[in-house]
Amino acid sequence: MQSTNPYDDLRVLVDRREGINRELARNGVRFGIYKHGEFIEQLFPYDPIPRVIPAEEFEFLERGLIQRVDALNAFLRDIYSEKQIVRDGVIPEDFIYSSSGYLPQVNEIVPPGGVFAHIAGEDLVQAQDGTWYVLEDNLRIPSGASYPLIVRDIERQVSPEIFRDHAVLDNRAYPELLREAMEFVSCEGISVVLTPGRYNAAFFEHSYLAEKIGASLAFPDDLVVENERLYFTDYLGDKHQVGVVYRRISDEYLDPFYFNPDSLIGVPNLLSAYRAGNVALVNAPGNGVADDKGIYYFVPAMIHYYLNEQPILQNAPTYLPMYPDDMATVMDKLETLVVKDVAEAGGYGVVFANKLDAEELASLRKAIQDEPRRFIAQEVIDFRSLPAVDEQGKPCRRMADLRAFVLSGKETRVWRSGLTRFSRVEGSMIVNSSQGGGFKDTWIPQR
Amino acid sequence: MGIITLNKVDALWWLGRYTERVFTTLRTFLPFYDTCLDHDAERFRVFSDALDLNADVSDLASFLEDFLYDKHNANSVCAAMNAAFDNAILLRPEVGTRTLGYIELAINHLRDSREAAERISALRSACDALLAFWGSLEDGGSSSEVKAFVMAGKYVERLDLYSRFKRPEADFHAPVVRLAFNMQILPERARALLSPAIAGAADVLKLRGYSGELVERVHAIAPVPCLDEDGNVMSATTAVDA
Repeated sequence: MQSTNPYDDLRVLVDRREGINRELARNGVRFGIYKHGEFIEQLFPYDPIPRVIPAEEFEFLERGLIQRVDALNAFLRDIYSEKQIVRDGVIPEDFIYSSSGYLPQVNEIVPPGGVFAHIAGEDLVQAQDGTWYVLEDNLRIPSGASYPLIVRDIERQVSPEIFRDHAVLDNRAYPELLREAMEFVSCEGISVVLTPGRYNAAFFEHSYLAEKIGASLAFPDDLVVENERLYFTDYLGDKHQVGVVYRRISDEYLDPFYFNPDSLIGVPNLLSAYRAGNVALVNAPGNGVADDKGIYYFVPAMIHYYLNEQPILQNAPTYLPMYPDDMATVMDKLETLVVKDVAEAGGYGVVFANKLDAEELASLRKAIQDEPRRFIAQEVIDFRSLPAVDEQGKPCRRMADLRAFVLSGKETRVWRSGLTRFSRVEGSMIVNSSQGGGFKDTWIPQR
Repeated sequence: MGIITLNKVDALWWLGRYTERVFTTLRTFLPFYDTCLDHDAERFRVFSDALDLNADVSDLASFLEDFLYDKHNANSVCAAMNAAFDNAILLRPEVGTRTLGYIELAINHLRDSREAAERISALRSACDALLAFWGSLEDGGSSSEVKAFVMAGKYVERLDLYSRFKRPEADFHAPVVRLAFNMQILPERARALLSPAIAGAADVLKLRGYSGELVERVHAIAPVPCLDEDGNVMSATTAVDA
């Protein structure tokens, strides 16, 4: 696997990029975006040079990710019951109650199996010195696993000799990991993947994962709650009880009786069935409190508190302007920091202060002073770029992150692959697909 | 995966109908196109009228544009292909990614056919992709119900198109037999769901001047069901007892 020039080793994949893209198109691998009010589906730009993470390095990540997600699950169990971590003064209570992800409607509900975050999407970057930093914990409905999953299948068909010559861990067990996590928490009944519909940005993923795990793909109208049980209605009107829902609808739209009453894509009374313990929801509603950008600051403290362990993985150095000391630091060196609006997602609300002119910088400074709870500020990590090919097929380097998927059921496991997202703009650190980013496969060599 | 909702039945049925609409329209069109090269474009009027295209057949290039590629004309081949796709995309778990790939291929071939130099070859490839789609569906792991809903839609559409193109009555024998075969696979209550559509197809044959015998054969495939007070289909035995 080691090569001084990755192009030498993997030239075949670069040369066959068109073939792989053709296969991606044939398999319908797209994501949707709304542009000027119109829904447009486009291929997810694919870079043929995989990210290769050495086995021992990935094992280190695995340990750190399992530790982190275990702590986050413990936090969610605690915060929706005893709130001991608040009572003990580890996390200020207003960080919990002012978080838009905190849902009082699910207080005191213990989900089946005691698992809240069944699927965690952990966003990491690797700094120039090799240190990995966790940038975000995505515990609501993290997406993206389907892309490296299907592209690996295609890469193996298009360039079998590469996989014969390089012992790479097969990543195609993801559906099995997901199925096992769902079965562990399933109540009596069938498994469904609940999609908001055909015009959702990630509809390909919803339908593909449903196919791969052997679950029914359910649209909101297909589901009904009766006597605190959830049923899937077949074409003859017969009702089949549902034991577990892998829902791809965000909390606020999930149940119009409990959350946003205007939601047309929710299932009325779904939360009643969940509260009664008759159906498992993957992921649990209310997880947003744990992946809030403000709560992120406290994850290392959670690891100490719940697991009595030292964090294996580091957070990016982060400041909370609501603390006077942190506010002073932020004001002192604002122009060197990246500032994030905690209410935003998908790469939006992220401001690199060194890109601002004097007027914009002053405006940002005032916004932080006016609403300190609304922002976090982080040191800019000079993260490693990865080898890639540009649109003309020429070698280049691009900034990239890694979304690792951690699945929790009977045990917590890390998928030995992941979604590497890269910026298609030279020098840019914004890798989100909604902002034009592409993806790479992530290879873990066999030991 | 084995449970099919009403929305999915609708999508399966229309997937069968729209794929067949593209296939049989193109398969009928290609020999016409060949003969029209030596004659005037008026010959295409049979297509325009049969498919309610209201296209201008005096100009071959615009006729082809309207007939094949006008996505805003609901009766064009392109619109039918897009409609097939819109139904197919909902059915990935039921039909499978591998099989859906043939729908994507058919769309790509149809798109490529817009380049005149590639037209006939690309249109044939679109037909081949649809044949492969049906073959892959039949050969794949989908349930017999899923297959039967698609195939029932396909053969009802074929009856409609054959009658639009005024095909001789003998040509209807095979699709009628295949429609009957696929309907037999479905449970009685499913047949009842499709019964009005099949009865409608039979009535259309009558309106288009086909024999009473053919019309009766199609009607017999899905007799109007007897329903009990709750709207459930009664079997022949319980209906007699009642």
